[in-house]
Amino acid sequence: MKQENMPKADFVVSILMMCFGVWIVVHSLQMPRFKEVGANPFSVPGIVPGILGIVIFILSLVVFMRSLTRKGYRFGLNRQTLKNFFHETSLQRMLLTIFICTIYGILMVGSMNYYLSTFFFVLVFLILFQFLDAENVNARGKLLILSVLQAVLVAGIVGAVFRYLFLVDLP
Amino acid sequence: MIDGFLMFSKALWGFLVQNPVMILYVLGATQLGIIVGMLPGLTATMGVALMTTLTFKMEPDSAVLILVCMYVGAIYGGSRSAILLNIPGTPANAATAVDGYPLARQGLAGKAIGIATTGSFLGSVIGLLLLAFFTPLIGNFALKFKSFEFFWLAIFGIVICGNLTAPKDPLKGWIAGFLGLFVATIGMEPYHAYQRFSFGYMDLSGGIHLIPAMVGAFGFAEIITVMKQPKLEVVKGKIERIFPRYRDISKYWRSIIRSGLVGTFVGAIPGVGEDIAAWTSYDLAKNSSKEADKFGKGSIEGLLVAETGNNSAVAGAMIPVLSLAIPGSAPAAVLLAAMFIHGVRPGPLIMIEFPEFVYQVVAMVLLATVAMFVLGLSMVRPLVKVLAIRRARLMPVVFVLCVIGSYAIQARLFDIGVMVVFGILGYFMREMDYPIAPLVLGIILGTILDKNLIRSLIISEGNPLFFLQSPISLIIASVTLLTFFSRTRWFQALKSKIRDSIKNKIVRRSKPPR
Repeated sequence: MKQENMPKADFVVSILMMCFGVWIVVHSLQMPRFKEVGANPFSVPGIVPGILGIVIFILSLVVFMRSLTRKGYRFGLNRQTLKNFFHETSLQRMLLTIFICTIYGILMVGSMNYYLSTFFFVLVFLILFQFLDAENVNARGKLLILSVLQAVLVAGIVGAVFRYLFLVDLP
Repeated sequence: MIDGFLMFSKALWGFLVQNPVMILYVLGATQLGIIVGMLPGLTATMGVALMTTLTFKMEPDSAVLILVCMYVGAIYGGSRSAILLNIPGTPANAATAVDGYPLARQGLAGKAIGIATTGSFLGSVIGLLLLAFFTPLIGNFALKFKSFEFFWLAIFGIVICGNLTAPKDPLKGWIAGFLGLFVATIGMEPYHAYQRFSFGYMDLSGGIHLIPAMVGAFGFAEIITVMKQPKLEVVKGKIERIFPRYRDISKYWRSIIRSGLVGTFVGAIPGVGEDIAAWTSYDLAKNSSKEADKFGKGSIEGLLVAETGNNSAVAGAMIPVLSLAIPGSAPAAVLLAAMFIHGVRPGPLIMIEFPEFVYQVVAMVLLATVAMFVLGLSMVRPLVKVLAIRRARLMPVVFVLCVIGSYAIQARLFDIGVMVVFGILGYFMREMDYPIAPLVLGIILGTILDKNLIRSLIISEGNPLFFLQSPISLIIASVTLLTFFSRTRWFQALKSKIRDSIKNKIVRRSKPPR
């Protein structure tokens, strides 16, 4: 992230962290005290997370105050800046990576055959990013064949090594 | 000391003679570590974490040997991409790129790789000597630690780690650390078996396992970062003589020893890691060098001290792992988790329960170091081709390994979710300049802090003075508070005032009377 945008990021993140700190403290206070079984008051479940919540809140508050002095509340958002932001190639690649990997990790693995899900993940990843990087449109056919081959090999080898060599049950 | 030497010799004999298969493990794991280290996007932490899952069903000594070799190899391996691509393969090699890449641009890539390999070897040797010497001492000293001392040690670990990994903004380091401590409280608490922050989900009541969180924070986050970046260009040109000349090394013997000592010491500081060790060694060498103007332009000394510093930190990071069960770095944290998985219990009692294990680890580091030196100088040309693999081809393979690696530890799909969440969190934390190392250290130290804080509160009945009663607690608490306040403006102003006052007094005394 560019350093000139850091105060804005600090402003937003510190507010989120302060809210998180408060949430931790509130939740810790709601935890049972086990008075009925004669538990020591210092052994209650909420004491350690409660203290941590307070510390997180205080540290985030300092970051928040500092972001105010650096005018982090001035986002300077307008149509053009938002358009430029969402058109950045690096942002698109980042979001695409997170999206594909999350779909594979959370949705595909465990709900379908491991070899199949891994094959499709590797294939889609290779196609999307290599097509994005492709210098020569005519080479896309070759890229597709190589991608299928790599996807088969990765799914097969990784699955087999973990299942039969390291005796790990596949998801 | 003689007992220690005998245990070390027995361990070495066992690895080399009684079980020759171990030599194959050493060579294979070290070579794999070098490859993992040299590929941007694969960090030492991720390599050790993934290897932990692969060695899950092996004997403890074989498994730990493979992990140590992977660790040593990966920290060294990152120097390749640092020299040839100007991109460190692991964060530990960032200082290596400063002088390594200019040397490669001058057509001296082979020489640079030879110097880096020798520096790594010498650093590792210095580190393992200090590991053998200090671990029993600290382990025996730590037997005096009680709840209060462990509580302060956990807090000190977070504060110093936050301080050193976020030098521009330690506040963010501390927030990351305390966030990690909070993550460790998720799940069943130790005194009443109450399920904290589980919201009725069975998986959450088991807590957040360290390895999926680390694979996510260091692995998946790195994949996102790598895929975001433009293409990499390898320095072209023939790699000439690799084996370094004796005079290129012997000329800087003072810097080598200093970097080895500094690197080991910095590596032993909880959670700080090899990258800080490398930079600290580099800065110290630059400030005291007669050739300071060459630093940053292809200085042999600069390259040498960077690699000596980062590899000596590997052994340094294992000192607190073995003696206190507190990791000195992120890969050391995974090593610690792996030791527990295999039934070894590092910590203050190790010198009573498993004293020979300490010297087995020293023997492992020695074997890994020798293998790294031999493989590092002999397998240069073929391995350079590995750097040319396109990231779009490599990263999906890495992510597949991250997924199966996270799943394999406890056979829980939930752990894959943890890996993904910590990966996304780790990426955005990095973007916002929040360091990840304190977060991970917090997850490890959270259990120590939780148990010992409650125990201390029960013993003291909430009286805060009890926390400063013993001399050890007082010292650790004072150092913690000093570290905390040292970054505040008024402390810096006070320090400048005192320094100026001393300077003025010295100047006045040195002036001759009129």
